[in-house]
Amino acid sequence: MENPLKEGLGARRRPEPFTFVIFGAAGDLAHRKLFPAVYNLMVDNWLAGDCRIIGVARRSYKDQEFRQEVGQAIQEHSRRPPDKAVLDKLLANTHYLTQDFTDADAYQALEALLHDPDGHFPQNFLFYLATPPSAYPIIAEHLGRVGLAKPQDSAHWVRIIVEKPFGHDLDSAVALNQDLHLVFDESQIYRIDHYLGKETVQNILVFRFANGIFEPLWTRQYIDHVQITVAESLGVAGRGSYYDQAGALRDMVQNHMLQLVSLIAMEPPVAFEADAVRDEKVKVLRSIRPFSTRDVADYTVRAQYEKGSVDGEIVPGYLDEPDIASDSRTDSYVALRLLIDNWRWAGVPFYLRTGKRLAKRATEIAIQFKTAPHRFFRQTDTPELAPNLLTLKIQPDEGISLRFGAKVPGPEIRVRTVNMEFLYGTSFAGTPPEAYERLLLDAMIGDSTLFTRKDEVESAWALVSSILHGWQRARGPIPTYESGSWGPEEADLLIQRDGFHWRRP
Amino acid sequence: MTRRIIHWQQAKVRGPEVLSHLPAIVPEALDGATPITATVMTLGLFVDKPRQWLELAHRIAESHPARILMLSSAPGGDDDRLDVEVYAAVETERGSGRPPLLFSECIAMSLYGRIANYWIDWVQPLIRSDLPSYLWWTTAPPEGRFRWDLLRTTFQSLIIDSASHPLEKWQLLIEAAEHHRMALLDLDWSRGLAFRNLLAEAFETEEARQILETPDEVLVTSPKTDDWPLASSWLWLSWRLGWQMGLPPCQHPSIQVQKAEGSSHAWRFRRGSWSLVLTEAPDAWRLHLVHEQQVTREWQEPHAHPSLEDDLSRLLSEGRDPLYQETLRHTLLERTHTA
Repeated sequence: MENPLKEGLGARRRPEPFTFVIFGAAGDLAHRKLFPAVYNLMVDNWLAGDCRIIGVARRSYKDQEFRQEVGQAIQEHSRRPPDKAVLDKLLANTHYLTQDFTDADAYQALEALLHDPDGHFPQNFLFYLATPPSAYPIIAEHLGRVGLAKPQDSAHWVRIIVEKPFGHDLDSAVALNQDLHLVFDESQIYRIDHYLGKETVQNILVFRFANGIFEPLWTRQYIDHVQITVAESLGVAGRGSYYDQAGALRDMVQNHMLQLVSLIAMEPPVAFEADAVRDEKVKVLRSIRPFSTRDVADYTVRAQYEKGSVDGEIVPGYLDEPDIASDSRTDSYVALRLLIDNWRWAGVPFYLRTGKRLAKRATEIAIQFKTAPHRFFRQTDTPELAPNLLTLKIQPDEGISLRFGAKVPGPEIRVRTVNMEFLYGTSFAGTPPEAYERLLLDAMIGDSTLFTRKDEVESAWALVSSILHGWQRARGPIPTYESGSWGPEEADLLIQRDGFHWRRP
Repeated sequence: MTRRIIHWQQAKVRGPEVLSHLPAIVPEALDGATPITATVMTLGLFVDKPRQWLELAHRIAESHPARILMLSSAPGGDDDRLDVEVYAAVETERGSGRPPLLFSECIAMSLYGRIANYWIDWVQPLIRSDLPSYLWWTTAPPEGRFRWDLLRTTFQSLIIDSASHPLEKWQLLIEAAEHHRMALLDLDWSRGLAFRNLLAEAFETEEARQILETPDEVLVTSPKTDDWPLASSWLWLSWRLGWQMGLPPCQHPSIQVQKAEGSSHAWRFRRGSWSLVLTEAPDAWRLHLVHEQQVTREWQEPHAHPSLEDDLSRLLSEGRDPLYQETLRHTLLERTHTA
């Protein structure tokens, strides 16, 4: 039916009324991120219809107790000031179900709760797995058994958001995908990587493809190398038992950093649509040259932090942290060199590094351009010019800077390096939405562009697993670095071999 | 970071002096430190009483770092003069080695006497080059001869609020903007988004579609008798549904349009025993499909009483809406276009 009133109105990003079921609702993620995100979406009027929340977890709560806790979490962690009317509305539609995820009967109770007797909430369900990963296949299987995994008809929808870590290696990721696919279609599965919800990460695509001047330079002809840094000043901070099983490669590189690589290196998609964007990202991941055992030794560095000083405080070494095995070989730092074997990037190295207890918290992508082909100013007082550098600052100080040479005023030719800088915080004042707000809203309206697809996850794990296998075979001691430094000497050597050096963010 | 407001004022300024004073105001207040400028647009405010708008200008600059040029013009009298006040918002203490940041600057210019007729000349040099520039016309629409040709080389976009004066009074300004290819942004059109969205959504339902396509009667309720709420959105509805009736008095061979007083804005579209009732409640816009006084379906769009500053902030973020231009071309400006 033609609708003359819809023409020119633009797509509405408002979900239909639905029920948001959070498994693991008593946990930290739900309290710090999910409830505040839903509240902020309501305050900002993105949730037009009603949204009912059902929290599910093993801990025993009555509805009222749970509501109190949710209200408190929102007040503590929301970026928006308390709005009583909105909060009351959210809490009035919040319920809790005490449930052991392995208990089949409990899913019958959930099914009964979801079938709203007065029909106020249509049968649209968004499930969120904020549980330990071992529970993912169990929950999915039970949802399938009680008939909650499929929409009742084409007018309704059922979607499931899966938190990271999505697998522990390639085999476990493939197995988890298979388990989920027994119950859900790929189009229903939203694998979340909160980095993709960050404004600055989304701006990578806008910067590259909405501006005419950068894309022609975005090739091996003009780019010398790329450095991606995700540095944290914190240690394992109460997550010791999880982190010691994961390490920096699994925790940061497999997901966040390879997402950044694919956004920087991808070809222009045919449209800003889920599959078009993800097709191009997958092509990048598949083009990354696999690591042989020798490559792992030559082009990767793992390390653990030692005791040192961060922000003026003496902090313990990795092996002295709580819940860390004294003989742990887990990486709290990784540096590696990637090569992307495709037409655009052949011969351009991508250097990645991430670590805990580094000198400062900083996430950035630095694109270093080749120097001018002819040293026109070599007879002058400034023969060596720093190459042009484009830095995309993801956090903190979100923005973009471009380094170039400028003439120092005076009768001689002297060149000094200067920066042109764009700062998000000053050009766009106001608080941007949290990553979880954007991603939850996308899942609510069924836009999976910013979620990772099955083949994306598996391609990333294939690369990371080849490194993990290489490390398993290595028997030597693991390098260390002082807390508060910029990482081990071995990482400096890795990049210096190619004639470069790490930036100081 | 600490944000500080630096105030500077001077009476009887000669035109070019403003431009020469401006770069020195912040360094003089900060012991010679030269700030980096962060402003991303020029926003002109044509106002009657600058004092009333100053506070609003500061708040707008909080969300849209801008050079705000607040202009009040009082022609007549023998005293030709320009008084200027500058309020610069500067962020200091940004970390060692980092210069202060000039976040926004509000330049309030009051023009008196003969020079008040030439205010565009005084404004031109103060527009920040290569950045978007908007002029918000907050007073009554200009009548008669006006140098739109000069204005269009100064400001790219004109902002109006067609709720402040009846839409037809803006016609000359709208025609000029159209003629001179200036983007036109209307705060009241932006406020009508929920109205348009809800009716468009309801149109997907057979009963609602039938009511809207051929209503017997439309009743528009407003607290003020002389107010026709969301006039531009009303024109949109009339155009899109082919009613071919403009603003009141609305003439149509079969649709009877009536106006009534009520406590809030409401629109009731009736066809036989079916009605669509759109109301603006404190927490949301609600649209009810009613059959024999029973609500059979409800649509709603929450809203949170935005202030004028929120409205403008949103408008500046969203930018020009081509649908607004199209609506005006097919309704208010139809004769201009045909000609």
